Amino acid sequence: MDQTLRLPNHAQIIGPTTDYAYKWALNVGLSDEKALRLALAVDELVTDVVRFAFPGEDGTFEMTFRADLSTAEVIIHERGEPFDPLRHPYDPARAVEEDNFEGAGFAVVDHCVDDFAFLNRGREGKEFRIVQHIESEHIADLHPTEQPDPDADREDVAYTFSPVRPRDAEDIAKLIYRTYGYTYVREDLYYPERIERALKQGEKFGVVVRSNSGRAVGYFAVLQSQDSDIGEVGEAVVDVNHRRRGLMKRMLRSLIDLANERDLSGVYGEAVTVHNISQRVNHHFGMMSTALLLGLFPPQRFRSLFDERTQPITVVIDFRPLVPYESVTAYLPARYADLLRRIYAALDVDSLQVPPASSATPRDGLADTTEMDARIRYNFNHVVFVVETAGQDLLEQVHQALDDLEAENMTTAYVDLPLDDPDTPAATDLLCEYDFVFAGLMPRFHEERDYLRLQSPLVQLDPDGIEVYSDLAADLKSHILSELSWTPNDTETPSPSARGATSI
Amino acid sequence: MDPERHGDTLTVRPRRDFNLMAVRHLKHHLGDATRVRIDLARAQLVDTEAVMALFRLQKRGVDVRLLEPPPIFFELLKVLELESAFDLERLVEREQP
Repeated sequence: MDQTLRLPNHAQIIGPTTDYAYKWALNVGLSDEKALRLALAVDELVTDVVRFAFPGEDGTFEMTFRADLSTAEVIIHERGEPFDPLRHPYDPARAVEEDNFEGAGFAVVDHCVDDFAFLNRGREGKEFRIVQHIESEHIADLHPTEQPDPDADREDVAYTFSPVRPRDAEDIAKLIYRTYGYTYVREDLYYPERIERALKQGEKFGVVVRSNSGRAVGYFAVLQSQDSDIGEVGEAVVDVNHRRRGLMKRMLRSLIDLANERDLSGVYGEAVTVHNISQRVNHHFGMMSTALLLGLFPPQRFRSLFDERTQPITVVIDFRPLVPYESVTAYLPARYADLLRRIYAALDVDSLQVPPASSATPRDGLADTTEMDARIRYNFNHVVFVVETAGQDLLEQVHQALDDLEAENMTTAYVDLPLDDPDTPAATDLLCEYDFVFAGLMPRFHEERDYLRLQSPLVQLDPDGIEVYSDLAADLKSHILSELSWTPNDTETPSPSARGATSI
Repeated sequence: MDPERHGDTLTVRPRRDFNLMAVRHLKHHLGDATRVRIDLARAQLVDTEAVMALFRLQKRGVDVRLLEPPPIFFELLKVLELESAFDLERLVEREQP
């Protein structure tokens, strides 16, 4: 959960803010050394805001503290004087000879943290983002070798299914490592400490399966969304010696029961498209494909399962409402109305109310300024812009942010637009005139509201490496490829002239 | 800040980090002191504002001594390539055994 502080530009707040950052960093799992460096980076940035953002006047700025199991991020957002730190690099000779230390603070910030990004938000001001990666002990270092599985060749194995507890963390990490080697996309699962922390903090719940010998041979979990009452059915693994025994399906059934008990309004899966097994399991349990997200994860190879593909991994969003949809009001952009209607129909929406186009906001009626939150997944090389208010400068803000993030080697940019907002059709047109295309429906994804997701792949992908299962997912894929002018079998060599594409 | 003045010597002990606020306090109490001793035993952090202040004091001919600077101070000098701008042997006052 984000923690946001609104602060005045007074020098007195530098010390307390730095202290808070240090303590917060320790609490989210950073080592003392990394927490101290994060605190120094905060000190430098806050000092810069206090001294230079609002010359001669009072102003306020916001600091947001955001953490997941592997990263701690601090976002400093101010709307003061325009400034681009990249244009003011530090020069040690100039410092000594001319007593001019311009850029020194940013040089220190860059040194202290693992990632440092500056986002120019135009009229919405500027954002400084600093990130530390949370270090934990990898399961391979904790237990480099494991005993052989006594149940490996037995046909009559009995299995027990139980809710995951924090003390199962190490067994889960071992299971992941044993099954996937180093190739599982969700890196947190290699670190027992992170699994334990997530379970203790209620960020996820799940099922673990043990065989006769007590060995963990299956695990499946729901990760609760941080800004909505839905959960992601993810982190699925079955030991290779215990496959084809229905464990995955039984675990998923248990998970959906647990999700219902916790009053989640829906569950979704991010099913990879390097194979269709996860998609098939999802559909078996009544999930419907609602979106196809190109290059959501970095390249991984799925050891011993499938051929080796090394392009960023595309996923299908499969969603199942646990609380049935009743009446939905959605301003459907004309260009995607048919697809969105089909998706809503698949989700059994009883009554889809689509206001007439005349009641949507015309483009020149959009607010001057966009309000949105950039959710940067540094580990996964993608960014999601969640739009609260779409303004005339939406495209400009998105472009500027992508330019500012160039060093982060982003694979894909996504924009989420609320479908119950009359601004969404005009905002969609704005984005699609550039290089954004359809991704799909993100049901109940933020604050329990439905969002239209658009996407702009920043690298070229091989469409033949994207395997989808359901008819709806196939139609999504076909539509998206058509919008991008990507065709199967002719993209073996990345084309530098492709829309917005750079080769990888 | 706990300033103490003995003759030409000003001794200050920042209660927390050596940052912009501590620098402002230091300047406020500096007056015509020609020697400044800064006790950093309670400081976890020293930032660039502090480094700049030290550099400028030294440039003005003030004899600056630091007591127990935290390790990050030396790292900061290295990052900013300012190690040679200070006479560290002189700047950092060793505790008497």
